[in-house]
Amino acid sequence: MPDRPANHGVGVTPAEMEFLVARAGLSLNPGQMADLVLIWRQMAGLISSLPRERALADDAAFAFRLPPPAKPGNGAAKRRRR
Amino acid sequence: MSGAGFDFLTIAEAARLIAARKLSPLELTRGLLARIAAFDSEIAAFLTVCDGRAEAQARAAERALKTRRRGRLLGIPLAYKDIFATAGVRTTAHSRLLAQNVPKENAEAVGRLAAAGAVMLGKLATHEFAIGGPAFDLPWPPARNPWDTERFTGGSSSGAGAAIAAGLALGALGSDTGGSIRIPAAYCGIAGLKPTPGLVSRRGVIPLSPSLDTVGPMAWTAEDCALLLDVLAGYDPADPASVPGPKVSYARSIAAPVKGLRVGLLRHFHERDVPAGAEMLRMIAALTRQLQKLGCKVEEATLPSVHDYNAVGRIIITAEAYALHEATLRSRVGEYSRSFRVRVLPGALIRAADYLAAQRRRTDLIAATRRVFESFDVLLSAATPGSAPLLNEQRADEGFATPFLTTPANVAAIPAAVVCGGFSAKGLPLGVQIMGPPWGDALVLRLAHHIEQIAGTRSRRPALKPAAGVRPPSERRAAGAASGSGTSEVRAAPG
Repeated sequence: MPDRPANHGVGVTPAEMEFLVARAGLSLNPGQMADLVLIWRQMAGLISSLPRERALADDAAFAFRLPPPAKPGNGAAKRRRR
Repeated sequence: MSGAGFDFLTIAEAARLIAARKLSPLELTRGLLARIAAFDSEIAAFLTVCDGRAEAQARAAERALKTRRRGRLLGIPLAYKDIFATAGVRTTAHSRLLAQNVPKENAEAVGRLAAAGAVMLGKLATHEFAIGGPAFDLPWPPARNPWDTERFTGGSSSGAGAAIAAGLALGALGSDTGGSIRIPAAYCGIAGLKPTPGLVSRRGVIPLSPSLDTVGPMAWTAEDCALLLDVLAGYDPADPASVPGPKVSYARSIAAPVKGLRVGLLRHFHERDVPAGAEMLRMIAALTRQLQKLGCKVEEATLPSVHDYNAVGRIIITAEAYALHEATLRSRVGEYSRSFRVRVLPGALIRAADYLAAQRRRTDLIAATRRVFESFDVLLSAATPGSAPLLNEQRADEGFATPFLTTPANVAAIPAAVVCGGFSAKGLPLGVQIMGPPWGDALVLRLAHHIEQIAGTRSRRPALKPAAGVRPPSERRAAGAASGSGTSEVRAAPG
């Protein structure tokens, strides 16, 4: 079977959408469902824009930790010595 | 206040007058309550006005004036976005789901301001649960922009922007997850700071997206924001994100010179990524020239595209907001506004793998942003593409179509302020954004203060018309409204 790009939900059919919404435990009226179909296209576009090529071990922990605060004074940026 | 020569005081001015015993906290509070009564029916900035409570707190400030134990904000009237818990005063998040919610304790930020002697005027409008847009299917109307009441305030700290611009409060607490302090600051022509994450406690604030939520000050000037931040900043072990910040007085350092400061102009933000209008571009160019005259070294800086930051921010916010509201969305989905549903329901369909891909991408963007601060002390961009749009042009189903120039600072976990850099030909404010490295909040506020000085925008206020048939505060007691205190008079939810 040839390779195919991952589908991150851009092409969800109405039937699939109804299944996913029901699985989430939501009960939407037709107007709410129509809004979700419309807005999901935008969200799916955002999801598709995320890069996925990074290696598994690139960052074992994705959570960030802030560095300790810089000393107060003129600018927190470190100036490079030339 | 009205008729007494005290209209439109800043926090700094009021604090000086109160300390010198030239202004009574009670007189100031009563003046603001009278202004709220006169103008807020047009602006709709307040959801709850605490007349009795505010007067009682102002009287307590009068008594404290006679002692040596004076708080730094003694007698300063403030108001709080209605997602901050306030003991005994309902906290609705502008949602019918919480219309009767009366917290027993103050949010940490509210408690800090109260301990410093501030007076609470009331609770302010927001987008429902601090997300979405202006909604007309909620118990309260959306706030309107005092510069032109047909126009949008920006959000989600919409009532804070409107109240401060209209001179109904001297300062406010807002929250900022993707721009919710800075966009209303831009559209309403005030100052707002999204602090470094962890600098100000979020305890007691109704969350939207714990990965990105911050709370911060909003006021007429950057100096006033600094005065508020001096009280707000501090470690709180009850907020897992809280960090002991630098020991610095934000207010005392605000007027220090900016000569030699390396300012990175993010031209691609507002020229390519989210193209701004001609008036905004002219304002940024004029400010750049003025900063160079002050001795700043202004050069072009480049970050990843605004679209990259926005994709990450929108995915994280939507997934986390949905998770927080899932149980209620399952049982009471129809009670939310359409605007909220449109922004949050897609979170039901975001896969864990996609959410984690967004968090991993955020790590890259944080690193890329930090690298730029090796070459620059601060970064500058437009806050929004233009001035405030018309309220009736805001569409609930626009959803995620428009990226925000403000979201990069949330995703990159850096401080960012917005101040008024000029006005459009129609007399509407134009906001400029200043971003700094983590813990560079004092530096950001300092440059913001200098921009206000060179832009000369702080002497101009919106012209307001009192509503016909205005009722005085004493007649606005709302029968049956939720309140835990006999001293509060609370506006009932209309409709």
